[in-house]
Amino acid sequence: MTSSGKFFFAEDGDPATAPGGKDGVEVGTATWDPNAGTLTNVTISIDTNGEWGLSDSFGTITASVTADDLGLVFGDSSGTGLGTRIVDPATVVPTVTDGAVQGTLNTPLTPFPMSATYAASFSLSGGPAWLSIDSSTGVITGTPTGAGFFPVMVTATNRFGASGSGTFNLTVASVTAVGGGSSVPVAPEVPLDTPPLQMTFDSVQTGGSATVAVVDPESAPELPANFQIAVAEGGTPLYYDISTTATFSGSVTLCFSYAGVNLGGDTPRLLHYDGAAGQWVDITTSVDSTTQTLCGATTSFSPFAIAKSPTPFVTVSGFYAPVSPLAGFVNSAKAGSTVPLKFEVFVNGVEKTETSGLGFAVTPVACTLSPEDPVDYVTQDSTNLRYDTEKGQFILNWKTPKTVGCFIARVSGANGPLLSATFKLK
Amino acid sequence: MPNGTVKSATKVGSTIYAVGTWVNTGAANRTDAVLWTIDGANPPAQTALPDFCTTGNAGCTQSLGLAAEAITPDAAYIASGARSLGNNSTGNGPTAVRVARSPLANLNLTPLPTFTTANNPKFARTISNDGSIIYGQVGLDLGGGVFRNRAVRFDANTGAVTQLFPQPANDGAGFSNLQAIVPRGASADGSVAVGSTFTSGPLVDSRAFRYVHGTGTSLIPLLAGGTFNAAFAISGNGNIVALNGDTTAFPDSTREFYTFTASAPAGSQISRLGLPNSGMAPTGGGGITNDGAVVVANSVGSCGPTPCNPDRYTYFHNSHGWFNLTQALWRGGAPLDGWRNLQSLGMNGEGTLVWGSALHWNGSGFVPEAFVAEFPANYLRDFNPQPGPVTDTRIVGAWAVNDNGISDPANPDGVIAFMADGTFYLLGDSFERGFYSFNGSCVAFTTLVDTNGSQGLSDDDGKCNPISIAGDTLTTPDGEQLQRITGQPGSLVGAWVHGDPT
Repeated sequence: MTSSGKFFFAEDGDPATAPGGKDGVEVGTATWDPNAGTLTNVTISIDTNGEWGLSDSFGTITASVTADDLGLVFGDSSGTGLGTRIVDPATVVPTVTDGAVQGTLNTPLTPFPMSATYAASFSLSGGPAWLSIDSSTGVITGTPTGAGFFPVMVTATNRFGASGSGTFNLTVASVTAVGGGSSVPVAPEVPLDTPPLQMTFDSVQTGGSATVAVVDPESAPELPANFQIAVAEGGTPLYYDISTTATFSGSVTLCFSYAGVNLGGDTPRLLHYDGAAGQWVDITTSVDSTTQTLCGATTSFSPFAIAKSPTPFVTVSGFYAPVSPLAGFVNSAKAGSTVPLKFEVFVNGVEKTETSGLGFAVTPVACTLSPEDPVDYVTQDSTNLRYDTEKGQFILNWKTPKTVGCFIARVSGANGPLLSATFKLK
Repeated sequence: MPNGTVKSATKVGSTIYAVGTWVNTGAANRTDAVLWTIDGANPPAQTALPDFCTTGNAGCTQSLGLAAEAITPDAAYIASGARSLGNNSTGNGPTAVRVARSPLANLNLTPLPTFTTANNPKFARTISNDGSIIYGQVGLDLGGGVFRNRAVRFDANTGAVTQLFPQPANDGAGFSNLQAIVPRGASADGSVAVGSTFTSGPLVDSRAFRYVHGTGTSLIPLLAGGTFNAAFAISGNGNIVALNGDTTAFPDSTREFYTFTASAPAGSQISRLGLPNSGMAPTGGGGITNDGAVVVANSVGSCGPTPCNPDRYTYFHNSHGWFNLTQALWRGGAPLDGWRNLQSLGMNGEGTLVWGSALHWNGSGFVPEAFVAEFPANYLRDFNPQPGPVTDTRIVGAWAVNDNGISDPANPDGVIAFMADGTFYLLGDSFERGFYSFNGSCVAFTTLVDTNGSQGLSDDDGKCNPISIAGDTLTTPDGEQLQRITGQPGSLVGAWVHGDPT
């Protein structure tokens, strides 16, 4: 049938009973009502096929296109038949629209209908055994019996045998422990094919589930300069939405594996978008290049981003005794004595043992009334910096000035101060 | 072999000998009986058969209707017409002769002893394999200026001449007024022959007969409800006759082809073969293999206003159905470009040679030309092309065809539907269906059902015609651009097939 309602109808005869007998054509016009599924106002201008065809139908002629757009159900009061669209098979290969659902352990999923063009049947591959799909409707159902992230392939096949595939991402969250601090592995594995996100709650008041989902990068706020979003092996930008139904207090430490993420020589960072401040905040607390684990701490959720930065992630530990680095404390010592400043430096989670790149500076400051903490022992060495391999720490022997007064002693790295402590020399 | 028509051919060793008729344009367009020797050279050697007459003899004025009709399988003897001493009294008709091929020699046939000298042999239609028996016709002078052809059998060994219908019992009654022997219409041993009798004039009143020497003549049964039939070939053993005839069993009460097997039990002697093209009518000529497995037959279309030359197709039938002869030729690699309107006038008993005439493009127009087509053993018997999945599916779909050459997918005059399994349908004021193949650059059709004569896609059946497809536009060899009929998803617009097209 054409768009103007002209139709051509042909029959080919059965050579066994009527050689060439019913071969013939009908040509005419008709009105098709897609809603009613009827052909009306049929007129015939050519009829060479005898008593067959639309010219000899019984009652109302019905004609409805099937849901896959490739089939036709037609008939009249004498019966119905099935037709198939004559179309280039290459143009009707099914296209499956990806879908995603978050489920809860031991709770039936809300039936999810997969959408696909030209599909005559659906099938699943790669999913858990409890997940199933209606082969004719494409509706996915199941009751999760295990937590995790399940990227399931859904294949739609058309009536010609051609198929196309899409992904159905099913996330089934685990349930947090009730009570105090708890460490909870949270599905899904993020990034894909890496250990799951580890959430460590300082304190949980009411247990619940926690979920993590990939965020559309188009909806994510722009990262600050010096940061670029990291991209998973599959090409997914690593923006996440993390949520929990649990109530908690304190902070939550989030630890992601960044195995498989191409950092291009940069350092991974965990950023959290502070909605109130309208900016991303680097909440990285540790980078373990050995286990390829990135951790950060937050008190609120979402969104988060795993970014990469050309600036190494440096953490320090110290000053150790006999010096206290705590703010508000003043270390007191005799002017001219030598004070040992003991500390450790970690670059991208690896302890630094070379003194290169480390600097030391002393700045006079005004003395304020502060609690004093005498340095327990001092020496008379000259100022020098070394890494004590036996103790596994740097020791900077600082030959203090002979001038009484207050000073801030700072150890710096390539990108700025690392540690400082206040001294009152007497 | 321009201006010729091959009426019989045989292959001996590596040489094909063919006989027939040739329009001698150098002699006031008179027709000559000729012999072609085909040994690979092109064009074949052509030799006119001797006139066998002396200057001044009335017979030598004969200018039309001469033809060599049959040649024995060993190419030793030819049944022919000739300008001959023994021509009839009017000087207008040919004389039937029996000719030795090498050297060419007239082994003349004697006048019927019971007839007057005016009743000389007139046409030699067929010859037995050993060259001893010839069936033909004589012009019988019934007196009063009335002449009627009579079917006769000549025995060259004994000189005996036999009328196939007893004379004069059927004169003026029934179907015996006018009789004709089917060209090459005799069994290999000459014991059986087929022909037609006519009341007078119109061929539609013909009845096919089968003559068994020593037994007599019987009319071949009509199809159900039929009123006439015409034989056009007989198997080598004389048992199977190929015919066409009318029948009320046929939807439009038109003719179809069938075979008659004499040895079969009564009631099962007729095997209907149907009609390869209901837009054409069966016509004369054709052949049948010795085992009856292959029948070659001709169809002719209609044209107007007259005078005009209707298109003609030659089809062959095997256990798989009817096929256009051009299909077998194209698929066999024959150089068929420039040839059309093939008409077969015979096929040898083995089914390896088919001959006749056709139109051939000579650079400025189509002219008649004789042909002999040679096929491998059993090629025609086993011919059964099958559709296969189309490798380039861009062609799959429905394409709009309009009489004015401007394709209008909204309001076409006709539609060509190509399906992915390699079948096609042409729908319009007529109908065709069959197979096609498309390799991305050319499309070839195998038409299985054809209701529109030479219209549609069946011309050049089997030839791979160059086309191109760009999106929803298909450009034909003559530059016509067909548009694909497409609709929105969920729409009825487009082409549909009952069932599964794959």
